[in-house]
Amino acid sequence: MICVESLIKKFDNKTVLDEISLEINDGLVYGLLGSNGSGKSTLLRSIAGIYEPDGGAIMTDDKAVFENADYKNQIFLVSDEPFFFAQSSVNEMAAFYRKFYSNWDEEVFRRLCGVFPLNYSAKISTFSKGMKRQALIILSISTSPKYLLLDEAFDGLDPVMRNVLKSIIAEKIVDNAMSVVVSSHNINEFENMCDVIAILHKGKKILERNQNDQSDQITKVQIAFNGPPAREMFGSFNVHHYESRGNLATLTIRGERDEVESGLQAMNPIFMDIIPATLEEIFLYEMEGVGYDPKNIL
Amino acid sequence: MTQKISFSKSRGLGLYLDVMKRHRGIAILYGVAMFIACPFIWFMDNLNRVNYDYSVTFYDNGLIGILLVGLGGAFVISTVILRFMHNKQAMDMYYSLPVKRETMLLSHALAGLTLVLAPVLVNFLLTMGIEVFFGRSSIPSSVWNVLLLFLVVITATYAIIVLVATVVGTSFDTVVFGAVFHFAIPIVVGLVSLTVSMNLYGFDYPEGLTRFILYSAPSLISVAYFSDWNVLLSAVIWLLASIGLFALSAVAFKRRKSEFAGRALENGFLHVIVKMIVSFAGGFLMMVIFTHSVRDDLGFALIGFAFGAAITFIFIHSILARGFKTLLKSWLQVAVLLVVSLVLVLISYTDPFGYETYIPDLSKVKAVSISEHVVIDERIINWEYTGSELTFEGKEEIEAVARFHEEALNLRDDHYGWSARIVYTLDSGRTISRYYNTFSEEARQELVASIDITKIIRAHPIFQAKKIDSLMIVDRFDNSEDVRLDATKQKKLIEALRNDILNKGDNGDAAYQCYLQVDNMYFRINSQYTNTLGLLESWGYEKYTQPDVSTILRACVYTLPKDIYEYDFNFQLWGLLDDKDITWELESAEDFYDLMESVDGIRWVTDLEEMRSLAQNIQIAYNTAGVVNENGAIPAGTQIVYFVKDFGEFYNYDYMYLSGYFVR
Repeated sequence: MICVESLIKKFDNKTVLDEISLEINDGLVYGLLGSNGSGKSTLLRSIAGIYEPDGGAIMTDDKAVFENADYKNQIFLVSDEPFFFAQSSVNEMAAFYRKFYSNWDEEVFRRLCGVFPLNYSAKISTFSKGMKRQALIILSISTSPKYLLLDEAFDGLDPVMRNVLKSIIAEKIVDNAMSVVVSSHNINEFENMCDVIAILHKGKKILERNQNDQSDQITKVQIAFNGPPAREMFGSFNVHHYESRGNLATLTIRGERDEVESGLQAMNPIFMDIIPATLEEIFLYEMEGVGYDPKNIL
Repeated sequence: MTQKISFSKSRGLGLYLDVMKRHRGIAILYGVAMFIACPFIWFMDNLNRVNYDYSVTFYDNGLIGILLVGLGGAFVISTVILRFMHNKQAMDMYYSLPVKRETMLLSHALAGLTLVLAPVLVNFLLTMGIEVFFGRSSIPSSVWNVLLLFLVVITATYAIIVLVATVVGTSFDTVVFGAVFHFAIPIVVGLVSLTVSMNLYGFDYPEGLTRFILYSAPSLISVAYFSDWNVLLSAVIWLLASIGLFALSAVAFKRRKSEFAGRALENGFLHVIVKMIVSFAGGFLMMVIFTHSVRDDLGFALIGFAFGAAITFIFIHSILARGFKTLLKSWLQVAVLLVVSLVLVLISYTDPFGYETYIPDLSKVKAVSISEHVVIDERIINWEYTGSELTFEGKEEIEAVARFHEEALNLRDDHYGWSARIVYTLDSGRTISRYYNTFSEEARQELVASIDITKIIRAHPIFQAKKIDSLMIVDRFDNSEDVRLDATKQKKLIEALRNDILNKGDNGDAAYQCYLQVDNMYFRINSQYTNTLGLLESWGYEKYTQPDVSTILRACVYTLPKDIYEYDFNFQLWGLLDDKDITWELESAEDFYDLMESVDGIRWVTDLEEMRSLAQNIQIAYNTAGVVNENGAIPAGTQIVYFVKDFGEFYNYDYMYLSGYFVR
């Protein structure tokens, strides 16, 4: 587990990360969401041990990650701007990484080479942005990392490759209990992927949500009564969002889904429909709930 | 566990090998450039001489090529290899590798150093091999000192760049800062001492300052070495310093903030230092321009310095900060620069501490030294004086030197061409040193009259000489003759020289002057050398005091248009030739005549009788006492006669040379 405690990072006098705390548990996918300049890349570089914290700590096994070679042997950052040696090919880069990562898995590398249709002997400088990203992802997974950090990793990948990548990551999570931290400014990237999602805004973590927490589910309901419903009728629920038109009300309620459903049934509605809330909707409601205007953030 | 440790250790080695492999291209280019600069060109040079009975030695050509290319390679290769820390994308990759930062830096630094030094070693050894190929029987041991010196100099240069690279944000800054810091101490110390020496009358460079300046920059050590100075200590210091710089670089790299990559840190500590040094140099240059081209006084010196420093500061700041945005924030740096610089100029111009007029209390002076050539009269000057100083401890002699010193202070604005160093040693052991170049001949004569120099004269090598190993007489027309003297004649010549030196006399007329070499030291023989000249004439060598007219093709007379000093005189004469582009391409003496006939002020003499008359009646030379006027200049109207003996050869009427080799 990686534990980020009150992390502060400043560039000159500007605070880029402000008291960020989070935990990245083994075998989970942690999503970092935020607009450009929110601090996602800086946080990932800090977790990768590239940046030294100006305050707080990033610990793993009770050891600081900065300048921790053993830790770095188990982590790999897929940067938003991949770096390859000039004139090098994927095979040459693989030879380079092979020297440094003791867990390098040649079999995985060969298998992934078969999955991603790249010319592994060609110069990477001739690759497109998406191909470069694929090359680095292949290399990163071949190092068998315990922690894989993906900074805007899906940018430039076509939908097919995104799905391939997601399935490979899922496989590694299941087989090796790999943890993944993935950043994006697009929440839809995280749909059906992340176990935990945090939103960063101006260097602060303004929201963190565990998608697996049953008690913290968001349920979106359309419900109709014989007369116009009043909001007060739903006082016993943790209502996040309420809209009504005529006899029909649309609600977003936080809580365990079964309990919410049975509670609403007990009010004898003439019609009730549980609508699946998209991740985007959930976060929009969440952010409104904590007083942020989502338009300024997502 | 064992396997893990082993893997961890191999990462440093793996990185080292990988860096070398990835930079093999630039290393090969560098090696080839060095090969061309040294063994190849030098080899071809030797090849061209293969039909001659001599070959050039490596000291003449090649080794400097190795050094220069090596220094360039140290700059370029270090910057290229360490550029990963100045690239944000590369930094993401490198810093996330499971390699400790110290290991990462040292692997890169050592790989680069290997690439820089290996070609030096290879090309050097290749050069030695070619030496042997061309028949050199053995390689002198001093060659290996040169090799070691080169390795140290290049390593130190490389180490400076490595340290600079770890503390700046961009490769551009690495190059700029590397160059500035390489020469930082010589620049600052040199300019400060120049500023002071230009204005403080009598300022004497502290002993060893020049050496310190040369020893303080790695590349300049080699200059000192080829000037035959002992550089062992400074080489050892720089070797240790290089190790220290590498260690310091490792520490700096460990503490280096990763986010510096690719950023110009315009207000970083090093940036401020660089701006200060460069601006100081700019201020100094502008001060020199102002005071030499407008007026040499304090006001113009201050204005020049301030203007130059400010302009340079703005210029260098805009480069380092990539613009002017933060210029105003640097006002404090400008203020410090101006205050320090202006105080320095103020001190050197106004002499607030009385440096210029200070003569120590003579009752506390234990001894005084003065430049040898001032004290010893013309007889000794005719020897190749050593430039050393004579020390006196007697009260009267100390007082005489102090009077001579006072005279120099009185003559501040006059320029007589004499120069001397006076060093007082006080009872406390402290020394006070001054250097003047405005002594009058009268003051010098007065000083000489107060000092008994017989003992000093007897220290001359001629008094230890027992025989003359060989003697070569060279006349003013470059005719030379090896002369063999039997033991009796050798003894007589030595005796004659000793007697002449001991007997005081007038300055000699140039027509009777010649040089004689003793133990590789030449000294001039004037008319006062009556014993020597008499002896030589009795042996039939009088002819060498006069030109052999039969060998002369033409003569020409140049009349000085104005009073002129000796050095200007030489420039003027050779300037005449330069204007006419006299080069070795002239194909015949006729070409030369045609060219010279068009020069204003040159009158060609073709009449044999007139030429003979000129040759026989010439009694003067430009720097003899008979010609130089009271201002130390050769007066306008003086005629200088040149003789052209053969194709392209050009002689002015100069001294006759008599060379000889004595063995003690």
